[in-house]
Amino acid sequence: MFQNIIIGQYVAGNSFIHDLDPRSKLTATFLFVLIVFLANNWLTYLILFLAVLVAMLVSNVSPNYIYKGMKPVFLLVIAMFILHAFFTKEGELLFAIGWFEVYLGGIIQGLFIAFRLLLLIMMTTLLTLTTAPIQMTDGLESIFGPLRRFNVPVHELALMMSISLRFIPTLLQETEKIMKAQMARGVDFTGGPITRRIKAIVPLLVPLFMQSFRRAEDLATAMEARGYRGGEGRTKLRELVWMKKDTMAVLTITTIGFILLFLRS
Amino acid sequence: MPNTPFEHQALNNINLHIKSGQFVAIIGHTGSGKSTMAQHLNGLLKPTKGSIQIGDFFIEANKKNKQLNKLRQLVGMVFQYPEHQLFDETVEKDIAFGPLNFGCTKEEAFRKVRDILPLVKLDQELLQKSPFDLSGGQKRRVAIAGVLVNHPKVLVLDEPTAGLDPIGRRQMMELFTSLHKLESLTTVLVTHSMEFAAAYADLVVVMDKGSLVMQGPPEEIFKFPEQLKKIGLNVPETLQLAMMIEESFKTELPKNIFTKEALVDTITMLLKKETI
Repeated sequence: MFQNIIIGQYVAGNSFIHDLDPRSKLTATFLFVLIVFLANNWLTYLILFLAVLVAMLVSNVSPNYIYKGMKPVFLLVIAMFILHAFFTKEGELLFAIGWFEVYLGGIIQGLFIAFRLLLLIMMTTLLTLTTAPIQMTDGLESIFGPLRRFNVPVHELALMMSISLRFIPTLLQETEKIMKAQMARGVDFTGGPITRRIKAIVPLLVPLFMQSFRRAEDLATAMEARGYRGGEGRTKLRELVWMKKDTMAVLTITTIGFILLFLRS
Repeated sequence: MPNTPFEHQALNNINLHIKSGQFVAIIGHTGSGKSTMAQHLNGLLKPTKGSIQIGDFFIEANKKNKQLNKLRQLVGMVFQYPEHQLFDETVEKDIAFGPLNFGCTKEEAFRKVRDILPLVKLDQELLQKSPFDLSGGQKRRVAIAGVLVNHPKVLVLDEPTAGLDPIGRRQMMELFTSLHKLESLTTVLVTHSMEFAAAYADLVVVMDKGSLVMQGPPEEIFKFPEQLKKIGLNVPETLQLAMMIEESFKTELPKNIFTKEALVDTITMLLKKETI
């Protein structure tokens, strides 16, 4: 039922990208997100696209799978394109229907923006596909570690994040189960008028909330029973080790950034 | 999920015919596809190949069904931990949820609710309570009432006794057997418990790794303890004990000892024979 949602769903593997330190992957992705905004002509976009393509090839994740994961956001990309195509009034007038005018500049602008969005989503999808959630939060905790000096509860925030990531699949499973149970009692979630469909959400949400509260309580009890007391003095099972290839990955992205600085118009 | 790294064929080449009025037990190890199969019976899952016929309804691969709701009224389904599906303000409204969805008027639905309560042994005074204030056993009864209230002809039970204490389990199973007779239902019970399968079912279906490996009356199925052990199952405890007695006393006992009472009878018989 939720087969197309792969947010936070990690596909195990042992490629170069899988083996990178999560900190380097996070940094590289963050830099990439910044760099994407530097691109403003065909050449720079092509370079970025090639970079993403290479990263995908190296990661060994099936492209089909990435495509499936991105499907739900295509609508957003298309919407962005249409918005820009219609509201940017630059360059040659292509055609007009009444007050409705489409300019060449608008089309190009729309393409660029759509492409930019696509690149961002591809790269971040790749990050979540190749990094286990636990690694991701470990990496974040380590990166934001210095903020502890300013009394930011870094460990607690990281823990909250890993717990929520961990429970996304569980919650989806639960949703599916309750949906099925209510469907067996005659609820139609997909058909009928919109008001009825909105009403159909109540029998889904109430049990879901009840379950989540109960689960939260159970989890808290389980953690306390095992002596959890927060991040103070806590050691890690998987130590993060920064290696040469991590430096390389970050440097590669930085280099691409510099190249883009030169090539942008 | 075809075409993803998580692709997995859950069921494979299943041929099964259930006569109406039968009490069928589906047994198998965890992950053998029992629940998946059960969910095909009311169109919650659809086959990717082949077809399913329930009464006059056909579910075929790659075809859209418009009458699924009618089928779901015909085939009641009690999921594992059914109390998790409760949501409404009062017990009465929660039980009436199904009938209202299937097109009953309010009066009709509430009348059906009142009629169904004695069947699941719940008090009328609970009707105005919130389902979340009830005890675990009561919650489960309310949830089951919410399925039975639609008067299905086929009842699919997915581990209905999970998480209950021994007495609760026994009562629950007695409830279902009496309903089976009273409403002349066709019952499909998905279970881990060999004891229940042996004691209650007319037909036992054994599944392993998504395939149907054995089917037949309990006496036939439990004749082959070796085969069952191979797929992580065992014969009922009563029969295990009987077989141990057979071995150490070098005697032959009947092969259909599926209840405690039957076991006690056979042992007393045996003892009497010994003393004569």
